[in-house]
Amino acid sequence: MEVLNALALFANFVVVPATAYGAQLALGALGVTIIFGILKFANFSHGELMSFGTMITILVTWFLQDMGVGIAPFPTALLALPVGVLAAIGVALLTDRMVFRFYRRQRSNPIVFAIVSVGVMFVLAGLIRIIIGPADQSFADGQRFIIGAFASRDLLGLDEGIAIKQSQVITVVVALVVVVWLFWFLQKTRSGKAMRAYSDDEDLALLCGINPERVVMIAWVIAASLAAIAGTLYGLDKTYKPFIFLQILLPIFAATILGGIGQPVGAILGAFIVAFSEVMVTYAYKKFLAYLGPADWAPDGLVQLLSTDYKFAVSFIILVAVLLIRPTGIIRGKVI
Amino acid sequence: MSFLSATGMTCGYGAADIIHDCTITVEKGEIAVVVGPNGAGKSTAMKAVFGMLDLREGTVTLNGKDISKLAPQDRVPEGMAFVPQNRNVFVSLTVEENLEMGAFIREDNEIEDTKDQVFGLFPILAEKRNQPAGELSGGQRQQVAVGRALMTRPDLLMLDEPTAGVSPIVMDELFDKILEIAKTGVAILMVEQNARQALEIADHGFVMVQGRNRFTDTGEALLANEDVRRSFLGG
Repeated sequence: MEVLNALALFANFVVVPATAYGAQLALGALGVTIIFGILKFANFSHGELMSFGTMITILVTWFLQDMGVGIAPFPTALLALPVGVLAAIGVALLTDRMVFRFYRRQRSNPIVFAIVSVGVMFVLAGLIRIIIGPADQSFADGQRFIIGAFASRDLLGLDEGIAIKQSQVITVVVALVVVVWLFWFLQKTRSGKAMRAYSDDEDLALLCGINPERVVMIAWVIAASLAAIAGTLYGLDKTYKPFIFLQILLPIFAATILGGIGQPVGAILGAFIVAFSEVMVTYAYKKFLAYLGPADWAPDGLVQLLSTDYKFAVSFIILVAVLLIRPTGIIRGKVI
Repeated sequence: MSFLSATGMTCGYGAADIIHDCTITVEKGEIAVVVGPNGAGKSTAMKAVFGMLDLREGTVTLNGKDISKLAPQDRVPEGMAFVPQNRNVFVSLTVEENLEMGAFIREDNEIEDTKDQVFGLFPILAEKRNQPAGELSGGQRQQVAVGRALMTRPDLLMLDEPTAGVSPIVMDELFDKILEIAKTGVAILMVEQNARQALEIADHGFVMVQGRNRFTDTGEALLANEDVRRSFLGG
């Protein structure tokens, strides 16, 4: 029983939250990896793209809530999400047309693109703070838990329960649907194959009559959609705060590089490894170990490897380790 | 006028001209081979014909139409297909996907037929259709590259050193396939290092030296020519 209790505790505080977080990171990392695969640069504005899509989703959610429109027990934000996705696509295509296309025509090198994307990031971040402000915004409604801690405890007949939030289930389900669709698109459709061909060899793709501008446009549409979805799911699961989207770039980039840059499967793999590392390293194992140890025994300290304040250090460590040991990533990707 | 007629081409990279007043012609169903020593400008001439270099002087016409000003990708719909020497397959795509990309600009319903024809010509590709092209041997990759080019159903197939880096047996096989392709009425223009073998299957040969046409004749005549043999074919 004690072992089962320990496992339930672990599932409740590590496995469930890390899975949801991993799914959010995976959607973000997929966007970064697709932009890298097609446009060959690290897009630092991706976080703000997530933020922008989420912001529009929130504004529409509030509007719908005021109008009394909802899809209870599901959060109203799901209803508003398509508008957020469209807005993110709009911003992405607009910045591409106004900024990135210029440098594409100059055939600028990837570093220039990356720096330019930092500029785009700051402009978007400013715009977002002007529109919605820098403060926390809550927009989650609908049923909070699929199964609460107490209910699951009674159900399992244990001392520890496994609470599952609705937002966590929605995150995983939506991420799964999006990822399956994305892989189907890349593997089976003409446009998807053309994108992979373009990513593989631009010059040869040109010889095949593949239109580069069209490929670039599709890449932005996909990346922006993934960004808006990822941001909204993250906001539903935790909270929407404009500042988060600068910080979240780090685990997203770590996941992208860890998985192999330009490799969609790698991005997903990397995202879950980063998410689980972050949660596992910052989890306090005191109670967990107490269940496993002799009766009435417990460790003196919290047995927490790293304070949650330092959780971003985990991404940093992973990033440095990957770049030192295996710069190509898990699935052999491109090296910047 | 010949089917492909590139006349008086002068061009190069930057300010310096590499080829001077160079002329290359090919007829439908024939094989034309450009040979010559290293640095003679063979590949440059090929790139000029395909529009990868801007001509300073001269014109390129295909089937009577002046295409001198067209960008390379715009020459593909006109019926030209080009197989570069290096990086000529999508390494991460499967063999079949490579062929599909070749047919990207086509909008007819006969793409499957052309694919079957390519598989008929290169049976090994049918066998490895689901394997990434990057995992194939050099000779097989060349077959993918040629197959991809054929998927556009070109009137003119241009090959830049198709036998570079493949074994003599594979080279003979490739030349056989190129002969087969020519028999279907496609004009073939290729640059070759293996001058003797290439001239043996060529209807016309162009010997280039220092960016200029030195000898132009039928393949047979060039092989018989004492000067050509001594200078370029090793006796």
